[in-house]
Amino acid sequence: MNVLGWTGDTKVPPDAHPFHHGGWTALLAPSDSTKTPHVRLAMQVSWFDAGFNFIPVAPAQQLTPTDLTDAACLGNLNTVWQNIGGHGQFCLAVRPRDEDGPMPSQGRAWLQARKAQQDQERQHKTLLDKIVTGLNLPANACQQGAHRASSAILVPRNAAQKTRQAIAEIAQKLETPQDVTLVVSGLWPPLGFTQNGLGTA
Amino acid sequence: MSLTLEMATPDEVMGSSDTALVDVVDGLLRHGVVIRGELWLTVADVDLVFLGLDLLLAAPDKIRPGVQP
Repeated sequence: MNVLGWTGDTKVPPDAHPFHHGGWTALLAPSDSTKTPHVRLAMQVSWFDAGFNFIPVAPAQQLTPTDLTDAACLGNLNTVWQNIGGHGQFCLAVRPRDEDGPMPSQGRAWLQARKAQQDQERQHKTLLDKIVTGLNLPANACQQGAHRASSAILVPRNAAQKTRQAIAEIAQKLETPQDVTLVVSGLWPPLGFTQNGLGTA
Repeated sequence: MSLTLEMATPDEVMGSSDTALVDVVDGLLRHGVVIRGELWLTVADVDLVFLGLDLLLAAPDKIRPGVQP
């Protein structure tokens, strides 16, 4: 069995195996049907879409029930639960509308292209920071790189549609130094907002 | 210059081969609660590296947000 999350609710997904430990219910799924990180993420998404609230384990980690015997690890779940219970997250990414061609391979041309790329990435980060600030919601620090900037915002489940509209309104008003695309995906389980409790990667 | 808005559901993202959306999924796989330092690093749905170490491996800007690598 793999642990995909914890919940403080009494209701658990019908295809999850509840494992009670330390005052919490760990949500387990059969190992043979959750072998890859992508499958584990897909199962977490299906539980979340079905309305279940839980603290998600990083899908990249294969966590077994025997790993839960360290009660000290569960000490901060209460704090995390208070912060993210009833919430999901939107992932936001800003990228150029048209991808650049291949970078020059050497010399001055490479340096100039690299500088232009870094300037562009900084512009994307600034733009994304403006959007996130305008939403006035808890957000992860903006990550910058590989032609794009990304961040995540924590959104109450019942405010998802309202937040989509707010993002659209802010995006419409922003002036950009180049043609860019803002990709908004979600609502995801709040994977990026578990850092107040246990460790995060 | 303009900003184009694209909205996608988790199902659309997970089924997409668009590099930007693949990046979203790969980012999500590494987030969430981690008890042991045991991660599969994946790119585009391909498991590449397994880390069984009790260490945190991350980019400098992720460990200390705001620091330029």
